[in-house]
Amino acid sequence: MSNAPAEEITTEEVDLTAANHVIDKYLTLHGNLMPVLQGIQDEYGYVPRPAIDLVADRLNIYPSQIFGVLTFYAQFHLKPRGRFIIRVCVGTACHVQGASRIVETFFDKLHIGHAETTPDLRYTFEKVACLGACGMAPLAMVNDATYGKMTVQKVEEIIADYNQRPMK
Amino acid sequence: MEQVLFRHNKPGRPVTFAEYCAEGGFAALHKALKELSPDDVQRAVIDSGLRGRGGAGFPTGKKWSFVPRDLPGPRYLICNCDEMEPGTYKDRALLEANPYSLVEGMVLAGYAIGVSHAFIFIRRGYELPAANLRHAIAEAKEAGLLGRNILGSGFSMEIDIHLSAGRYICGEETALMNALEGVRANPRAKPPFPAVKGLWGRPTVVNNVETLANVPYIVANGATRFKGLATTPEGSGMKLFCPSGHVRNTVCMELPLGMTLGEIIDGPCGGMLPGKKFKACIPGGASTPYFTADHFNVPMDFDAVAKAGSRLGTGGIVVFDEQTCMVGATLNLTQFFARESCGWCTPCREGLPYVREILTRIEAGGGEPEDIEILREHVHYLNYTFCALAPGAMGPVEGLLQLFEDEIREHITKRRCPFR
Amino acid sequence: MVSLTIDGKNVTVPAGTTILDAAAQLGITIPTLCWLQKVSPTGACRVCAVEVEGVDRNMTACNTPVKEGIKVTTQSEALTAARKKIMELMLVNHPLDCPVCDAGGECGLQDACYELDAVRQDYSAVLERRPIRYDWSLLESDPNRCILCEKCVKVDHEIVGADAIAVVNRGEATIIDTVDGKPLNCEFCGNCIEACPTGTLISKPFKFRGRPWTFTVTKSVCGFCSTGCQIEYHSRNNRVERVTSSDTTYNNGNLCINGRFGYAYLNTPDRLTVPLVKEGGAQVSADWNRAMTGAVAKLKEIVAGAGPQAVAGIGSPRVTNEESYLFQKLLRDAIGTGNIDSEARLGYAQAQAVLQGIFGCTGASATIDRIDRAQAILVIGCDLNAESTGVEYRVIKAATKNDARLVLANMRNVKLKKYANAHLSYRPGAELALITGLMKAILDEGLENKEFIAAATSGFAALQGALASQQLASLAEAAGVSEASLREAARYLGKKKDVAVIFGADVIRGGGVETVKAVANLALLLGAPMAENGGIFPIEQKNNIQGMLDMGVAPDHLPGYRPAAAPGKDLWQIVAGIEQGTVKALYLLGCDPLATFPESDRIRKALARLDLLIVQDIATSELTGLAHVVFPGAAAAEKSGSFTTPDNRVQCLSRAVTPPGDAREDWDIIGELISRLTGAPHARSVAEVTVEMQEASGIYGGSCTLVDGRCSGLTKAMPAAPATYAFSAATVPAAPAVEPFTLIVGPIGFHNGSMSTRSANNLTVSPAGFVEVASADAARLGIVDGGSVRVTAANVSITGPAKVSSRIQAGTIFAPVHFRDLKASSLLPANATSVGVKVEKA
Repeated sequence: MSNAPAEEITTEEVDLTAANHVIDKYLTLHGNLMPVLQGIQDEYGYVPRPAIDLVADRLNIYPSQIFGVLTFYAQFHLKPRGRFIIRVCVGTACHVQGASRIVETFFDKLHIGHAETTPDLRYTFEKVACLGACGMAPLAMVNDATYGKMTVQKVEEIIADYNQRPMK
Repeated sequence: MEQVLFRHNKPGRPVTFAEYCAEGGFAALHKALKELSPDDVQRAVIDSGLRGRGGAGFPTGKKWSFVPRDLPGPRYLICNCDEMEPGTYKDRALLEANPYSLVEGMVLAGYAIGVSHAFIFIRRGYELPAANLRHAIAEAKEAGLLGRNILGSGFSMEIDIHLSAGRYICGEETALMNALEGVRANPRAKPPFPAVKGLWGRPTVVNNVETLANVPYIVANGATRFKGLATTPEGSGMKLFCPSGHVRNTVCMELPLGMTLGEIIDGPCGGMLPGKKFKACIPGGASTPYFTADHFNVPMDFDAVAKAGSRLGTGGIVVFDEQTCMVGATLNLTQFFARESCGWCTPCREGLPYVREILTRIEAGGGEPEDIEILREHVHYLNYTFCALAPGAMGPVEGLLQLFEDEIREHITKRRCPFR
Repeated sequence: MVSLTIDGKNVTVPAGTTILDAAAQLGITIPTLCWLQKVSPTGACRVCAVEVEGVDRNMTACNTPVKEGIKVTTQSEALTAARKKIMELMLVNHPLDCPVCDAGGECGLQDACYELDAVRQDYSAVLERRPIRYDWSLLESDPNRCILCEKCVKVDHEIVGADAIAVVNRGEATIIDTVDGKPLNCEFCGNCIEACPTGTLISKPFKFRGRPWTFTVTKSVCGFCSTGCQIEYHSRNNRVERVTSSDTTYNNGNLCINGRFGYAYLNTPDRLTVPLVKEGGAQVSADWNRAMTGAVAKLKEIVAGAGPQAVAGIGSPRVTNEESYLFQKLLRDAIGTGNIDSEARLGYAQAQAVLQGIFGCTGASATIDRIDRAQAILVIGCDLNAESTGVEYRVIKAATKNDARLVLANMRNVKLKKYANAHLSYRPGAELALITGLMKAILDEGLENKEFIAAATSGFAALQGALASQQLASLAEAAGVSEASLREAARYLGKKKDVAVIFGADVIRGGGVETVKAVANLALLLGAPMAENGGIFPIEQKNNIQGMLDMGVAPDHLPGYRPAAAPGKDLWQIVAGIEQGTVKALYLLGCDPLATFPESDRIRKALARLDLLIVQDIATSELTGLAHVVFPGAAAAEKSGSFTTPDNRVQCLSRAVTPPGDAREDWDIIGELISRLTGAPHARSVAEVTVEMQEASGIYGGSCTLVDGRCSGLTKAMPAAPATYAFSAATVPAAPAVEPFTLIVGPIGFHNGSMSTRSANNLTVSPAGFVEVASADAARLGIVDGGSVRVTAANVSITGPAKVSSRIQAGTIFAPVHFRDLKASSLLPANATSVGVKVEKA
């Protein structure tokens, strides 16, 4: 047992237009909760509280079901996240190829730990389970881009690269 | 060597629809819808001896046959592409090279079972495979190979792609159905089994990508020929293996079932990386007990591997060299399983973190001799769980205790990890 | 039927039965921990694992259905070891803080450890602490103690129908928490506390009040609403410290906030502990002899001077049958006046007379457990959550577990809406139009129960004729709902074998006799009275309104509904009599008309004119301040006697504690007054009064025998159903007048009557009155949430904090009835629950 209670979510002002569009798109689909939440996660980078209430209301389901789902799956986040999500695989194949050095180098360079976000919202760092590309171990991803055969040197190059990229 | 799934592969790019068709793709579908009854297709798959490629190895045709024949109303087919077993990347490799054999296999399976709506449940992060599939589905529809009244046969079927929100447990078929329905992906109680009461309470078949992709070959070329691909008499067909770790070739490869472990590692895998010596491997993905060099002559087929004390699993072979700490490797695996436990049933929720804690202690030099007995107890009692996650998680721990007890003791007596 | 073998014994059970239930039939107990009979099985703890021959893995008995021919083993060495191991695993992370844990001594985990012999802990681990939720009201959650059996969540979702807590996170991080991580915000029924096998969810007011086994447990009946839930008082040092209920009770262990937490009113500092008498304008404490002597002398003087008709009494639905019986005896026999009535005159008395005329029965036509299995349910003009929570739980059960169709007709968006197949949100005051519209739609669609109508009713043709001349469109318009929604509702209700029609205050108090007749007609159309599972159910907020009427606390009938030879004045005639000076003495028994009665300003003025005002109550109030004599009575936990629910269940209450100070049980006070007035001997015990009451009523009988510590054996005879049920003549509904704003006054779930507003527990979650205003109206009037708002009807105004809400129709506002400070009902005319008002920012 190693966790704080469910993250407390602050109430915020959010423009729900995009969320409404997502719901419109899936409104008649059987089993639409997941695609709706995934769409909202994609639109906002996290699932804002007002959007949860909106989904509960429009899909006529309990908020508890939505929260249960949101806190179960890895994809969903209840707080804003970084513009660039850095994921380092710590699956077994990567583990035996030195993934922990890669992880520590990112920690040192970004000054954040696992599942944390830099204060400027540029980076979120995550250790993740096997990414299904064990042939390229050790492996890192930044958003959808994959970086195989990672080295400490490559970590610095990646950070230098993404420091230059625009935030929008 | 004849290839089944990788037959159409093109270097560095996915096969195109035109190429796939030109090379005999969708011929099985034409044949089935024109000449064969659903029962014929099902019979062919039963006769072929095809066993599930997702890890459990259940005979596919038999699974299909559990679906009640006369029950009115919808029934569903789900393709499980939530490939999250550490050390496994076969479905990704398959779909990145060729999405069409899966689409064709699903239509054939759907025809055999009487499904009008199928889903592909695909792992988050598999962007390219998902894109390939979307493309393939659109092309197949355009060509009348999917959708309404396929090839004028009167049989109709749709395929929807559902992106997983990411959890290892979603690979468990009943948890997967919960995920599709939009609730927490806890496994469901069995009975009732999915074939009777699955997705939205309807009869449902869940098959792995690789399993379904094999179906067109079986229908096109016959059960006997498929069966004969394996090198052992009891084996059947080809298998995708994904080697990783300290071997030279770490790409997905399609090999006949029944090649020995040694043949695979020294042959297609190209042997160990320079200067490295083989110590052990995970033979079939993260939940399988280790093999050592003593197992090099074990044929890599379901029954033979099981007889040797492990499982063929997904075909994900993770090779460890002599410098690898097996306690550390096992800890890494246990961390994964503990984190991915859904937290619902007691033994798994409470037991896995406890095993992780003991292994952490041992790896850090704080282990005690009695910890070994406690680990052994857990290997036994974590079989009493709701689903296969915890028993699977105990696979490597079991292997560790069986094959590397000395290494554990060394950690304990030296009060440190000897590999650091 | 399926046959199987369990531990070598054969048993045959219906298909779908679980192994656990099948074993129970053989008297074989399989240990469980996460299993709770009243909710769906979870199957998470694995303690109930059993072996099935031929199956390689153990199966959980609680959720595995039986299969023909299987051989089950429930006890083996391997199973014992596995069960024990599970307990040890649970304890790895369970803080062993039993010495300071509230559940110590009544903990399912403790019991299971003992039972399964898990007496050693070989697994040591560094515990990581999770924050304890001290910030919840009434409940405290210590997730460290949680074993994730999910009972609380299932009770919350499946029984209460709330959505307050959920399983969140995953794996080892899984906890039960509020859905948004914020402090608990729910109905605070505390049923999750009862379900929790450990000390994870505990009652804050009870915390550290004592070890469970040190309390005296008294099995009794709840004294709040009229559901009549069976409860247990836990008392020590003559203080009730908590109330629980067991799953084996009629109410399945389910209570509401009032039942579970409302007991704190017993311990309010406002309790009256000594008699008071007025001397020279000031109230002073007195001993009983002095207070009684004074009261009797004054009564005799008034009777001598102005005749017995100058005396009147108003009884109470809160007191026991025995006390109501003695009260009418006091007035009728000892004083000689028929001027006796109660707040039942606000509607229930008239409604019950109508029902009695048509259905033969008093109150409901069947007991409320029949609702559980009804196929269709209409809940009209009733916020069940506030008026009878226990009945609401049954409706939820019927709708969710047994797939009953539910039609909710309510002016407001009340809790049941989320279970309703159709919600008819009608205009205030349009109950009659709505019901007539429903009947019209049923007949139009041919959905009436033709078989029942033909076989067992009279007057159908007349009703049909009357309805034929009406247009559905205009009825719909008058009711403020769409024609389509009426037809839809009719289809949900029509052509069902088992229909339950449930109606509450907006019909009974607001609608009046014609509306009740219409509801009865509707029930007849649907065949509700002959339904095996269903019937017609009037709902009343206060516990013993039915028993009080049965006892003849009414001007027109004696105990057992024998007609009074000379009917006395009813409630409003008594008020008028005081105003005219013909009524000079008034005895108020457990009745505070200044708190929650309509026209309370008028009543206040009238009371000031009395020569003698006797108030018998349990707490000080504005009313007791006006009284010439105050008798301190006893609350439900402090007395013996019986209560009768509107569905005619007679149940004894048991005394858990004695009344505070010099206060006495009410039957004892009234009994002594009778004795002093007549010279007849005073009854020595309640039992004696019970026998006298049974004889006098002619419909009560039996004697209380304790079964498992709970009263059983008291009966009330129900008259035989009439040979034919007569349809009443249809009344043409008039469209209600259009008001710029209509105030609806009604109860809320956090309180019951005004009694719970003296409970510190209830007040922590609902401290004061409010005025609920629709968002659109608030915006228009410049009213903000929490800001002050003034509501004026005729010449009376009230001011309270605004609660801006989306749960109420524009043009209507709502104020809770319970609060003495807000006095919302003072705006209402005599028999109404809504009134046209002016609303403004204050």
